[in-house]
Amino acid sequence: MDDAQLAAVLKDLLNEPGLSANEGPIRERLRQVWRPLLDEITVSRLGSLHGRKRGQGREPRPSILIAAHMDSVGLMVEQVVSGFLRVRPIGWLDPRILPGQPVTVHGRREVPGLLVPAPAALLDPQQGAEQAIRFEDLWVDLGLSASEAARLVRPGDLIAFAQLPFEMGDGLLAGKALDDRAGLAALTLCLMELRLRAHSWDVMVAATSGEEENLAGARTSSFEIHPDLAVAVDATLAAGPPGQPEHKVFPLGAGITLGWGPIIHPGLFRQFEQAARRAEVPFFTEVMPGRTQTDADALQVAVEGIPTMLVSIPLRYMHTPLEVVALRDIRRAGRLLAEFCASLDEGFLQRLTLE
Amino acid sequence: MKPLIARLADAYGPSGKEDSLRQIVRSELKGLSDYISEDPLGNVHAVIKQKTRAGRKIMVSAPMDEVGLIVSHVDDHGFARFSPLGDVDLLQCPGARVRFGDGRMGVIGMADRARGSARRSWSELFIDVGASDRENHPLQVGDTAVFASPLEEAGAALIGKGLNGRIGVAILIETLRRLKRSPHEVQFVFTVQEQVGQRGARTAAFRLEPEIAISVSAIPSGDTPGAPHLAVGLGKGPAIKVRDASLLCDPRVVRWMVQRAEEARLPYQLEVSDEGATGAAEIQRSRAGVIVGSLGIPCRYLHGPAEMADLNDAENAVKLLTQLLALPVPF
Amino acid sequence: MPRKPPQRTRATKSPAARRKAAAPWRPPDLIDLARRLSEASGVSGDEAAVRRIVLESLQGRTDQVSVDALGNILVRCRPSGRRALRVMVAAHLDEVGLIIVAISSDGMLRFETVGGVDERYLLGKAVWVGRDHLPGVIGVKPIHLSGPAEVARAVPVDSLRIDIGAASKEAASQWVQPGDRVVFATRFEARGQLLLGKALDDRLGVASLISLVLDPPANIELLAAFTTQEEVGLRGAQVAAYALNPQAALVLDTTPANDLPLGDGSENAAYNTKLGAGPAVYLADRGTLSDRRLVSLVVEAARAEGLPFQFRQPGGGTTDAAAIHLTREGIPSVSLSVPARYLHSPRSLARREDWLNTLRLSRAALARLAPDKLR
Repeated sequence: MDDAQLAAVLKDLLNEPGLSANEGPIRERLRQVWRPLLDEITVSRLGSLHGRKRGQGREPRPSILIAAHMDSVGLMVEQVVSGFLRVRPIGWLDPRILPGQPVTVHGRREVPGLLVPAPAALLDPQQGAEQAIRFEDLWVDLGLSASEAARLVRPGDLIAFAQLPFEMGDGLLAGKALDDRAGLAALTLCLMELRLRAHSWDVMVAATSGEEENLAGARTSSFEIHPDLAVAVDATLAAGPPGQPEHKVFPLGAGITLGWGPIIHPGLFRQFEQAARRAEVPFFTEVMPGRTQTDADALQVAVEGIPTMLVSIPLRYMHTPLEVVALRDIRRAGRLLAEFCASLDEGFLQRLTLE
Repeated sequence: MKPLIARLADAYGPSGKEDSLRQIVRSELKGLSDYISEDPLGNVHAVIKQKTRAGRKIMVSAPMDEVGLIVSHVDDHGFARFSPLGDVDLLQCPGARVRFGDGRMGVIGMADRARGSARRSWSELFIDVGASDRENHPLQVGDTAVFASPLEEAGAALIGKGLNGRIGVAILIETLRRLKRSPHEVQFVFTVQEQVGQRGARTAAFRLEPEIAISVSAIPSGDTPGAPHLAVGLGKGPAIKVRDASLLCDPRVVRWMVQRAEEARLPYQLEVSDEGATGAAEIQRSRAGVIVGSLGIPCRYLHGPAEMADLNDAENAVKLLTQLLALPVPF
Repeated sequence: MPRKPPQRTRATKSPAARRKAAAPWRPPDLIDLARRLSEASGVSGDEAAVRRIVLESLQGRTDQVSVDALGNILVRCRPSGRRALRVMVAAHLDEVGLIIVAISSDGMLRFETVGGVDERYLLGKAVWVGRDHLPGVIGVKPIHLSGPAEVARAVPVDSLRIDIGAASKEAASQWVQPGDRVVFATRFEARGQLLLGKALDDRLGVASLISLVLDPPANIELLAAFTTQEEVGLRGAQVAAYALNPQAALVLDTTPANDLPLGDGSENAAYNTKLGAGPAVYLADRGTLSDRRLVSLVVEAARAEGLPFQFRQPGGGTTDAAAIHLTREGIPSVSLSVPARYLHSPRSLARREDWLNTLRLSRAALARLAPDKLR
């Protein structure tokens, strides 16, 4: 798949709304995309999409679970006041990026709106002009009368960013929800490659719900699927404007990252290193002293414990309507996952050690 | 329902010591369900086992415990230092009366009163039980106290301590009484240790393996002067939770609750906030997942000696819960 | 899907181990065991060296040992009778420490903390880097070059570096790489009553648990869990409890003794525990409300055996019990800790009698555990 095709697939995925706990539209789109690539598809109680691609090994076959989260950050209507909306975040959002953002409110029908800060003249005098914008100071202007707004929108309705994705630079894509649709795209590429490669183990995939809120999707999916190995595919911070600590950000377009730290099984890390070399995928080691803030945190401590790995795609401006990724990094992630899955044999678990 | 709420609210039951509540709940539930049991942490389960083929397994929960204070040190002059058990509102403590498990009364005092009550820490508060030194002191490290204020009425409002959880308990008991028939297997669970992190809800869900769960408890209201901005208030009906700080409720459950409320012409409000947490969050994550929602009773002055809730909201919550359980689930 | 059986450990017999196997077995000297455990490097997620010591100590003495996906060592000791209570006893293998995150062009190592390291203790300390204990220094600008305003401010971890004496990134990369763990370079000392060393939290607990496994109480089915990653969120304990599925749990840890005098001479009401006052029984911490029946059992055991004990002040902090007691349908739990000063610093201080009494008290309590105690 070349850059143009990958961009098209991704843009398609990016256009479907999928805020935490309300991932319906993206789930259905994904189901269509994945159907030809999997032997079984089911939906968990919490709305995660589960798929199984059977391996060719003898039964009972061990399984590997690859998880990427479907949900993205956004907003929810808290109150409808005189035709304007008060909002609350879903997931971790910086309110300072919100003024001026176009949004789509999913009410009784889709209503376009504009996020605006309360005019400075009306702000609390105690809060100086240098103070940053908070959620309490934001409104969504729908351009409707109070009665029209009350008819179409209710508290609890979801608000997604309306920014359309676009390509820029050398193989880069800018758009909302690339965290973690980029991961889902990588997963899809992996499944496509596995159609053409033999693999002994069952490959389970999960597009998890609720990662941005509380990892509930990953936790319950790993309990239900109960795999022998787990890999989370997510976005990580890419270097962008100056001033970010060097060891916490990675170059955009120069490779994917492999997580390392207490959450990651060291033996599994080494296997992924080798797979990356075989597949000629450039990578960086991402040292994480504690929680990774990804589905991996939930996967590792599911049931009796699952050896867990984290593969990440560098991304700029995380949790904003215009995140930026390099398409080649997504292809690299897909290739690495396929190479690793294809390399799993019957003796893998016996050989896997912590030392 | 008032006498029931009074009996529950006045009982002594800080997190971890819910014995009296267990007793009251068991006596109220006699004969109302197919079986009653307790689990290792002390949750009480009452289950209506029958269900039709299309019926679902639904867990309904409410917390039995209340916030409290646990003694950490008795000083040279007989004053007891303490730590909060649960999210006790520090501002409402100085001057409050408290009662220990054996009935002993005390008052919460604050060191250096001239400094005012802003930005105080727990180490500056103490409980005075009228003892003058450490010799033969009636208290020891680990003793727990709760606020001491009997339930009283103010118009349609109820004022008391521990309403937080106990109103939910009353709603569950009353619903169980009124529920003549249900197509579902309904698990009524009275949970422990909610105030210290929804702990009982977590283990109860693992044991019962429900498909759907509804938690019932008080939520902070936003209808007092200068209150942090919350859209729910007293007297406007039970609040159907869309989201709080700990979870996003399943939208199918929200729609289901709104539908039943509108069909039965019951007042209701929608809770969209980033404050507060209930057992529903822990239940949602249990095993392979549970579809959860929550009914909230707006409550003022939470986690203090005089919480206030509207009896009509509780009544309407009973009616709504009964409707939800008596009819099929539309998803 | 049929579950793969837990991985058996592979017994690698070194010449020393073979010699040991030939001689009649003697229980390890506890102080020597504490020394080896304390000096071993086992920062959360990298507990291999500590695991090795535990596995060697248990070798040949028990056949139901396994190591799980997170590196927990799980041991099942058979009881003498039927219907014995299944009791999990846990101690954590890991310690707080540092992890290298980058190597600068000048050969200095950039690091972050793992677990709740007390950052006030970092400046000017000797450390061991990596599995081979490479010596290094957490250097700091000499006071001669720092103005008074600087000296008045705490130094953020971000501006600290570990110096291993390498002149360049290439030179340093011969010896270390990002991801290597770092511990304080502290030699264990036992002088009279004083025990001084790093990672007394929780190597003292680990030593106690080894002693229990080597001579288990016959009335219960002892399920020992040497857990990993306690310091970064009780992670090992979660999965260990799920796998072992016990009916009750006892956690052996250490807890701060903040029993120093206050600067203004007023009474210290926030000491947590006191050194010399005996094993600390937990009533309530931030993560667990101890099961009251187990607390009574422990207190009864202490009184019956004439052992000192104290109640740890209710308040903050957690132990593995916080994860264990909420596993599955709920597991009645209690924690018993050795009081120690300066935990999470280069050198902690404990009293021998407190430690030995904690071990004695845990034995006495376990000996009294029976199904009827939990009704």
